[in-house]
Amino acid sequence: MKTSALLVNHHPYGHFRRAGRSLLPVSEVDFHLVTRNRAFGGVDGLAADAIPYVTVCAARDEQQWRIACEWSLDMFPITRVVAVHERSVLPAAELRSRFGLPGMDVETALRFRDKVAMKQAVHSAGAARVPAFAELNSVEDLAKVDWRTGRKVIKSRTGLAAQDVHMVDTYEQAARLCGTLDLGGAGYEIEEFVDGRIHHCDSVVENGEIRFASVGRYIADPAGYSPGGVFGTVLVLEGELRERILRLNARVLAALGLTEGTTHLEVFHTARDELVFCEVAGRPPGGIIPPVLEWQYGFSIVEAAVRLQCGLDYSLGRAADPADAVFGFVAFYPGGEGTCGIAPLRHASLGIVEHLSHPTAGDRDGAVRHSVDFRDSYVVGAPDHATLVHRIDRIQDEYRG
Amino acid sequence: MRARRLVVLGATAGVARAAHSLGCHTVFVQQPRSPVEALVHDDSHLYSVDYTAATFAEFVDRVLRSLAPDAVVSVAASGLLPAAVANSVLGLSGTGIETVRRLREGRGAVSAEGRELDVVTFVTGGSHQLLAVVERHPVTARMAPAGLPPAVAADVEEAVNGHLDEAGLRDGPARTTVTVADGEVRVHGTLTHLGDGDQPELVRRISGIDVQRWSLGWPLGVRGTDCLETGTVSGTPHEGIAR
Repeated sequence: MKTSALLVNHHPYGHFRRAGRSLLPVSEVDFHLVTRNRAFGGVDGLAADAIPYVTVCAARDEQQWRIACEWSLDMFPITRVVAVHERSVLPAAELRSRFGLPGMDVETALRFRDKVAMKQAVHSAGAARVPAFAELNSVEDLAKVDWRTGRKVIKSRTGLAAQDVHMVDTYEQAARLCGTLDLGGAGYEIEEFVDGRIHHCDSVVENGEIRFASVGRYIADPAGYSPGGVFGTVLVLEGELRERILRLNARVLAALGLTEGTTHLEVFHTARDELVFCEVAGRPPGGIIPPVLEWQYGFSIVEAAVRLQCGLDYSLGRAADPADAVFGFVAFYPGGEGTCGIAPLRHASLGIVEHLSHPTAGDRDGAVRHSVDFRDSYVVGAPDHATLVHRIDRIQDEYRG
Repeated sequence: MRARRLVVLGATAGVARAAHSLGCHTVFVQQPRSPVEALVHDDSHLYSVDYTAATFAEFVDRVLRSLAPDAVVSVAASGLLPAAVANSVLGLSGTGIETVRRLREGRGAVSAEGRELDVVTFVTGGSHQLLAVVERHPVTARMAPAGLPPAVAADVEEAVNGHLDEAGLRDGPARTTVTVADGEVRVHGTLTHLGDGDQPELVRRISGIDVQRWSLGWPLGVRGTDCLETGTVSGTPHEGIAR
């Protein structure tokens, strides 16, 4: 008998299709898909897959999502709940815990979703250095902050894709900002600004063991997205820093109590060669990182995440093999001047192995909506790290003409 | 003020288009494994549910109720009774369960003698409007306007209206099958939907009314005049002047 699984999905449905292939094991699993409405891409391309049960809900109507999910779990022999989007992680865990299903439970998921609970757990376990942080539930909380130490970050405790992140340099700036935020719902935190290059570590964990982990370095600050801006990452395949990040990642995941799932951790590397924990998510990486990992290691981390949550075996590609090339990506936000793209004829000489285009990126006012709201993204390969960085620089020059 | 919310059971792409034309928020309830992309608009909701199953009333109570729909309709044969069940559970107007059952189960065998006609009417608050009388061509099997003499047409209309009144149909479309032989009209039964085949188009050509749109929209207050297409027809329904 086929497994029945509830897939709680906040991605555009195209997230589950890759080069004409479905990343969902539709021949092995009867999926009950709860997805966003068409305006948010929740059903785009759905006809290509045999999904027997579909619920389409308003993207932000959490009550409707919960009602639909609970109905499905009550009425069908569903044994797995799958979530690969940050917004779905906690609702899926709540359902697993409520219905006694395997996978990440609600207590673990809360530590991955609430940036205060997350940092408390990491700090308590001594898993990593954590920037000084505090809950921000009223303007009065600002008085408890040490303003002599410089810039602070105020952000949503459950924010995603670098949305709702604010930098402030003084108490007065912070107080003005707080006047525009709804602090009553225990939804914000304040922490020390850390000046450093942000690295990410993406993992697959099963039975408490990290079976796969990859390190990359962002080429820009994810919180710095803006019209005409650029973002990207280059994978780091060797070196002492990589090993330190892998060890930090292992300590953090253990501190948060993760035994099964995929993760995306971000960490600052400061000019003083310190690693400072930023945050970690209990789901696969987003944006263009999955295609980059697929080019590098030969498997889809999104597919692995789904199969793992469905209780199926999964591939880690050639992760164990030495690499003869290194991959990364460079992406361009909508807006800005001189946008012209890269002619396909130039792709080979620039090392571009894949171009992903999102013509609908940006909002109606020309603003960038979040850190992965890319207009054009290019996966780039090179024989070594230095060449990769050089090619990404050249692509930035050529893209803007 | 939020847009009025219409739940449609068992829609096809054409029915979905008609539903969207009403300007309301659409919610589709479809049998499992049915197409999705072809139906939904940007903000539509959709649920894959076996609406013929015994558990459908519970689905209505637990899931659809939370959406506070203004009406639940179907123009598919399989969806008529479930729609009536949903309206009953939610306390909405619409054709009642007993009326749907009575009409569905009251179809007698059609006599081989005489002319077999389909009489399409629309009932509004118990008032009947004849839209078309059509007949299947004995050779091509295609439906075409019947072209009845006025006296026969009047007898047909009277028989059909009486049958629907007796069944308790107060609102909505009706397709009643009758035979006319030796001046006698015999009613064989009624379907309270026109399906998604050729018949709605034929009725539109005869009457100038988009009966599909009216069938979906009447619980929201849509009137026949709201569904009248430009370029009106001449003639009468029973004369059946097709355009």
